[in-house]
Amino acid sequence: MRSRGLAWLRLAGAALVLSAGVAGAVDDTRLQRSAALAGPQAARAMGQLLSLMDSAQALPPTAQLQAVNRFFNANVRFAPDSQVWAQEDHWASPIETLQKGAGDCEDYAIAKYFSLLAIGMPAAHLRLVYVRVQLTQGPAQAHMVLAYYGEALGDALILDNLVEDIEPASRRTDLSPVFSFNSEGLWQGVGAVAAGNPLARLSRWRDVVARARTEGFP
Amino acid sequence: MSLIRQIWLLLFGLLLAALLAAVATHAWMGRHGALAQVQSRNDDGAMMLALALSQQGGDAQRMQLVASALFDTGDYRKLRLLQPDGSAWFERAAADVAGAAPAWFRRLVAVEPMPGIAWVSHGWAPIGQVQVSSHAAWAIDALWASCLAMALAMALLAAVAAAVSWRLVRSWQRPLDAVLAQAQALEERRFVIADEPRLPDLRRLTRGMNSLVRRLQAVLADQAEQLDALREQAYTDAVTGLTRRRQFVGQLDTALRSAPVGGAGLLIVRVLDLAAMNRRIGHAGTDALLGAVGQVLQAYPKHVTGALTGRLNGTDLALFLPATGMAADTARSLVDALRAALATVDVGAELVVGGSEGLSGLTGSEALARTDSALARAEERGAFAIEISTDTVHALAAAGGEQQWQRLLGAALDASRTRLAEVPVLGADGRLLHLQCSLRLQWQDGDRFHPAASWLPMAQRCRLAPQADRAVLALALAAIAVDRQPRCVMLTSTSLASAGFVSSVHAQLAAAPEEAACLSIELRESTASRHAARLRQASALWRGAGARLGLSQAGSNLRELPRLHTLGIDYMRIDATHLQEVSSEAAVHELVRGLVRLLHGMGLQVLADGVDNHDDLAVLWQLGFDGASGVIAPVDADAGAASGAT
Repeated sequence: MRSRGLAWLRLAGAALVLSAGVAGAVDDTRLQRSAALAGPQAARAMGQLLSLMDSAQALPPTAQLQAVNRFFNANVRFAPDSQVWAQEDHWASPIETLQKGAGDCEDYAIAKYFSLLAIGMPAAHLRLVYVRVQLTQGPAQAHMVLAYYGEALGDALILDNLVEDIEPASRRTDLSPVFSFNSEGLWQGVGAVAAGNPLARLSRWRDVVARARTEGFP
Repeated sequence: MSLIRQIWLLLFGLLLAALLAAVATHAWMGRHGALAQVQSRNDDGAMMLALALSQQGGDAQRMQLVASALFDTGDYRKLRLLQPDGSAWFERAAADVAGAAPAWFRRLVAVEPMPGIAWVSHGWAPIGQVQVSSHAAWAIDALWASCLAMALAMALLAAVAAAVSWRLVRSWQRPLDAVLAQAQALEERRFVIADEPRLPDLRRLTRGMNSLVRRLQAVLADQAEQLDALREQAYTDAVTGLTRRRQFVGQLDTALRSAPVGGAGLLIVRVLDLAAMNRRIGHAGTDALLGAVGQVLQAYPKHVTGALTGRLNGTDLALFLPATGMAADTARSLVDALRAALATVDVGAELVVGGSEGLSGLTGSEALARTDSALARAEERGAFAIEISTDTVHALAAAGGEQQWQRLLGAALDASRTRLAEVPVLGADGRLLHLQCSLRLQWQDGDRFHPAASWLPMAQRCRLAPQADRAVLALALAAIAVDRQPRCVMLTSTSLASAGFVSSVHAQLAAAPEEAACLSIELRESTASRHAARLRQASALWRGAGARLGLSQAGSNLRELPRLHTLGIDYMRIDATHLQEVSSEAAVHELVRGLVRLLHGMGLQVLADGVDNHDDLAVLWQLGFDGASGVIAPVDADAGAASGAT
């Protein structure tokens, strides 16, 4: 009888945690646990990320951007999806990226985006942008970067894995933007459709958003 | 609520619930699908539009053109372009399409998708937001159509299921009704055997009830046989095997009441000089001789229905023949047979035969007296003499005046010159049980009213008995309507056998249901064996109308008593002949006690008829009789027999 009671308590606890996740609150313990579930590397990296996010709360936005950009550029090495995931294209959630320690351009952008949301940056200021990048050698390539639009919405700041520092968009002449999006409209739109609904995850973007939220990101 | 009705309710309830649940579940789940479809369309449309607008180089006019183009060519309800700060910039909206689904369904389902949202940018600069909404009506229409189809399919299925179960339940209902009918019959004391149904449960039940009924019948048959044996002992003379005098006279009385029109015949055989015979061949030899004579006489009842034999005293043995004109021939053949038989035993044995012909309307003693005088004349003539006396006057009057009788009776019945004669029957507690009624007819105004005994045989011959029976029934019902006293009437077996009588009596009873409940109808016991099927039919109808049914002049055919069970009788009126000397004769006492026990065991009331002394009456109450008539109540001054003939 006692074990049955404990099982019910655990179930209630999990429901509470899940509901907190649906509501959108950032739960450090939840992030830590998801990272632990993913693997030892993810757990270690998440610990560092959490302390970074804590310290970045007080900083101005540009400093926050710097911190997150530097962290992911340092901790994740670039590798194509075919190498990392044995798939042609796979959008990884932040913790998946941390566990693998490797990712391609959209993985970087996704990880940085959700980490900045977790710190408290409003989603209206952030966009993921499809761009065409002209490298020093070879033809133009498809690429994705994270763009920060300040209060003024004038010149954007680009967080890129190709470049170490954060530079304003005007200075990044090698990038030509095609399309930008973020997760703002999604929760509004699918309010009646639960995250568990497979129809909500048909697109890669929605799928990765759902996974990130399950992990504990807002 | 009966079993069958409960099954019906359960069946229909389940089908209805299943139908409603299926349709409701389908509608609810379909709602989710519809919502997801429209939502997805909204989101994709917004993304598509934002992508297209982002390629227009920030040209406001071109962006509006692209938006309009998408709106005009697509299935969108509303398209909005917003500035980055959220203010409206450009909007296209279509009228809300209601769709084919009814308003109540749309309200119930209430699919409210959110608009799809996407960002428009020019280069790096975000220049606006698009919001796209599609029509939800088509999704709801599709849902409505599928719900209708589902409801139709379920209804069809339910109809088929209902039809199949209807057949099934009906097939159960018939054997169930048969079992119930048997139980009902048992309750009404009609012990019937039913056919075994095919359903195993009901078959076991029916088998059980059948075996119960058979066992009961066997017990009763056993009892009846024992009673019969007892009766043999009580009534029979040991030496000759013939009935004793007292019982014989009583039987003669009863037989003469129902004598055929031409009259019946009675013969007495007297063995002469018994003392001398005793000296010649001894007591044992004399007994053997008398036994031989008795045996010869006993051949007659076996071949002639209604013939009676009896030992009147030490030397006289009597034979009653219920037919006309047989006496002389029978006497001659008797003498021939006996002469040869006696010669083997005792050469010196002598006998004479005296007889009388044309007996009717007489009591037993009167008939014996007349035959005695004939016997005396035969004795004067010598050994082996035969002397028959005939009452030709009476016979002629009966035979020749048939047409006159028909006129008389017909006139009396048509003119309703009728009256009811009532004899009280008391119960064990001394209170009136019911009034025994018979019909009296008046030939002319001012004439006296003649009891049924004097004209009923002729009425039967003239086929007016049914009319007379209906008249007495109507009079009895009318009398009950006045004073609410229970009454009983006797109907004749010839009426019962006539066509339409049973249903016309039923009609009379049904027209006065409250009076019918106080009425008892009696028939002679012999009717039960002669017209068993008719009696069963009558029992079902008349008892159904509320009347009680009984048999009178009962007690002679004990072996047949258990079979009367299946006919549906309420009481038996035992004839006086079977109750005589019940207070003095131990054998009769035992017999009557066994009879009462048997009849009570079958659930019938037992009544006594014609009790003529108070000692017998006291014993009858002691034995458990439910009612008695006879000496115990004052009899009408000009009353004849208490009940009618035949």
